[in-house]
Amino acid sequence: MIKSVFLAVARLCGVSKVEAGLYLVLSAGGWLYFAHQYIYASGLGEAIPTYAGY
Amino acid sequence: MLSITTAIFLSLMGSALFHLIPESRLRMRMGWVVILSFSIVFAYYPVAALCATGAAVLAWILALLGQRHKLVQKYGAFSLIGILIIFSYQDVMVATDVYSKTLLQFGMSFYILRLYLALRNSATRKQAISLEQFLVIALFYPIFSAGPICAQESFTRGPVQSQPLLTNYLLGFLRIGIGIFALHFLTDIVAQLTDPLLVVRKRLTDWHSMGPLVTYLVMVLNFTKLYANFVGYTEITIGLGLFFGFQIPENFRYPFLSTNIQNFWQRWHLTLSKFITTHIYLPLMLTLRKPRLSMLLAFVLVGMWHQVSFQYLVWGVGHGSMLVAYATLSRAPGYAATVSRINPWLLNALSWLLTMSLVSFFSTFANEPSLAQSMAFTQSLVPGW
Repeated sequence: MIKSVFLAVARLCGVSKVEAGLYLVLSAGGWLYFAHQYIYASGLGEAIPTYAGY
Repeated sequence: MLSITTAIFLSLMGSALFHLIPESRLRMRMGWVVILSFSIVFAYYPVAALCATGAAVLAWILALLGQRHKLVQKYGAFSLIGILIIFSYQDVMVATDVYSKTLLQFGMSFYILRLYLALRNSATRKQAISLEQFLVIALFYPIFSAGPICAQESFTRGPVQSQPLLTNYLLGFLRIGIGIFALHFLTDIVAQLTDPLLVVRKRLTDWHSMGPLVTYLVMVLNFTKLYANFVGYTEITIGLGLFFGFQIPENFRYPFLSTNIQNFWQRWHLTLSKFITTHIYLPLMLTLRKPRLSMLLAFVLVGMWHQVSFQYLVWGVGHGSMLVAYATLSRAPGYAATVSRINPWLLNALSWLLTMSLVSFFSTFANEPSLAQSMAFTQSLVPGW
């Protein structure tokens, strides 16, 4: 299952298996950080990171 | 301020409606993207939205005229660059504070380049572009303020649009996750390391209080922060584009692995790098017949595009000179023989250190808020100055 996810990400993103692994780990890290900021640190909204300076 | 949550929510809703419109109604689909993008940009920066719309309409008129008049086809796109110069560097942008003003100028420099690229592509390939395509190129909200520099290819039918919708959404979330990691997690860590060195009230780096080693570390961290910010923003942009089935081009290929300056520009801000080569360096070289001078001039122009200031002039001359020096050195007789005598690991390590140090130096020098600050930074870097 995990291997097939790696292979699918590698194929769809046009990257190597190692890079696909890196993508998955970084992305999971990003979403976990986002969830942490959103739920615990920000009081639901105040310190939510802004996007592209808007 | 548009939060990531809002950006994702609007993109999910907007793309759902986009996909509900049948694929055969391409104009209607693009029209929806225009309405959505214009509304979002207008809500935050009304002047910028109106300027971008005006520029897109002008590009469309130029494209129409170009079909009949060869002169317009050949030189019409330059009028867009003229507008960029006039609007960006004259005090005509209505903005309430310095931050908004910078953002408007920066956004403008990106959408004008995208429209210029679209116009040139349309002329060389003899492909007509519709008004709504020009409007999407100028206004599509994820790429509005900081690129990447892409044109019609990103929004027309390509491999990404042939993929199942679910795949695109999952890949979109994957890329957005990477973006959040870089944009906020990495940036936060680096900021925690460098912020204690800021003179808090003025948010200026206190260069005078540091020795050369600390200055060097802060310089490298500043560049890392810039990279984390830019790559994070680009990843989120690519992810949001995937929700709509748009293929926003990649902008970075691990620039921190560069072992020479030429290699750096093959990894850093790829769309700008391609733009410089195709639309500045090659025409200059064909006119002047002097590749090294053309390279130097091209980077000076790119420096001025970033900002008309002495700091960015130094940045442009610095990068141009480094490229010229590398091209000269690597082609010098005896270079290959000398290099082959050095241990390849040591050589790579040293060239990597030199490349990253110089790139970080010029980046920090150019991004300091004033010339006095840039000079203080340089003095602090040199022992005994």
